[in-house]
Amino acid sequence: MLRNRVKELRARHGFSQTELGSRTGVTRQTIGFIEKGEFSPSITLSLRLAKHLQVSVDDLFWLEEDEI
Amino acid sequence: MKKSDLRVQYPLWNITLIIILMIISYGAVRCSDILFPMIRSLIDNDGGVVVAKIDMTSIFTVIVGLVLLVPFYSAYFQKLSKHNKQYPNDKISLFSFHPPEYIEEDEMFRQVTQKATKKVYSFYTMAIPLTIAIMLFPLNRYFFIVILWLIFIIQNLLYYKEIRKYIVEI
Repeated sequence: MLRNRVKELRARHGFSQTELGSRTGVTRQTIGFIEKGEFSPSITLSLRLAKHLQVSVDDLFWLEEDEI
Repeated sequence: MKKSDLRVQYPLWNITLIIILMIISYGAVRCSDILFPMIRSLIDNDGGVVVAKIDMTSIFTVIVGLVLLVPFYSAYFQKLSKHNKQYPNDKISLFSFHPPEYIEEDEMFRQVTQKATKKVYSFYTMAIPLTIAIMLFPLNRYFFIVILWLIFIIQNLLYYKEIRKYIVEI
């Protein structure tokens, strides 16, 4: 499963889901489903999210098995 | 995107229209059953007096169906004009072959639309052979028309159910 820190970093930057969505060109629902881990974004969207949240894609997304 | 968005609700509008068309087609089938075999069957000779043979049930159902179309289309056009004003970049055209219920707002919704379409496709691969098998039986034409309308209703329900899962409101 793809895990992420989108919710944590979005809160840290003070963005709402709608705001982050409009900055990255997606809907609020998409941000919500990414945060819940129910939608895996494309590489392009992952790069955009990482850019706006000022981290690397590696710091933003990881596979659950990597935690072991 | 909200649950009240016309693109999300479009399958429900389709279902309502189908139910009205089911009522109209019942009357239309009964009318054509009388009309087509022999035009003479439209008139009766009642003791030397020629009278028109009117099937009240068929006429009544066609009228009821047509009357129901009036509030349906007035509500639909109201909703459509409201939608087109609210979303000038995502206008719904009456004369487009592109189904308005396809939501392609972003990559997740494109994926959701594909998933919903795949479900509908799977349903059709089962429903069409089954309908053909039922058609082997000598049943009334209206029965087959109802089956086809029901398939259309189920298609819209499957699609709507899948899309709605992803329309979460705050």
